[in-house]
Amino acid sequence: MLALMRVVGVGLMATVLLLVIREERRDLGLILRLGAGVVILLLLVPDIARVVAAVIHLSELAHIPSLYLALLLKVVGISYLTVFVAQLAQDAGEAGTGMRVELAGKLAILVLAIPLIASITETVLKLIPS
Amino acid sequence: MASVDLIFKLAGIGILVTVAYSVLERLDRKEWGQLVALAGIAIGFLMVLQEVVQLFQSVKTMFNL
Repeated sequence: MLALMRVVGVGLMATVLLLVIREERRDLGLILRLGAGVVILLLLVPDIARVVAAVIHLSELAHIPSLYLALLLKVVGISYLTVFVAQLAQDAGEAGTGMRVELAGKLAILVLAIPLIASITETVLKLIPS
Repeated sequence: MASVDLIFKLAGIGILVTVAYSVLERLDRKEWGQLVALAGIAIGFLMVLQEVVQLFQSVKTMFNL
């Protein structure tokens, strides 16, 4: 709850300050926006860590192999970072760069998923009587 | 909170640079104004980069990347 109030305050502050600066200097406005985004995400880190710990605990209760859960967490982390950077680039009017960063993130996720896809395909092929 | 101070520092740098730029422009020293703006951007970006590194490290450790 404390983190939420902090995030709300930081967002309000950053919006007002950005309104002042963006008119005069767009480059410094971009840096201020980057700073605000990083500060807000850093404030969210403890809560996310708590959620991740709870998910890991639940998966241990359900006897899900930790391999799959680690993969899922990696995918979440990759999307977290790439969306942050892509959104920043889009705010700066560089939509192309943002799209490329997103493409790189999707590619990284696909690379992580390849072993799973391969194992699913192998299982399906075993089930089919040749 | 050290990280919340960062936003105020960045906004202060922005306002200061804007004022310095307009004063130098009025004094017919536009190239100095550009240099001041560049220095302000570099300082602000370096300050933000430290926090970015911290965020990347924490995400890395949190999600076992």
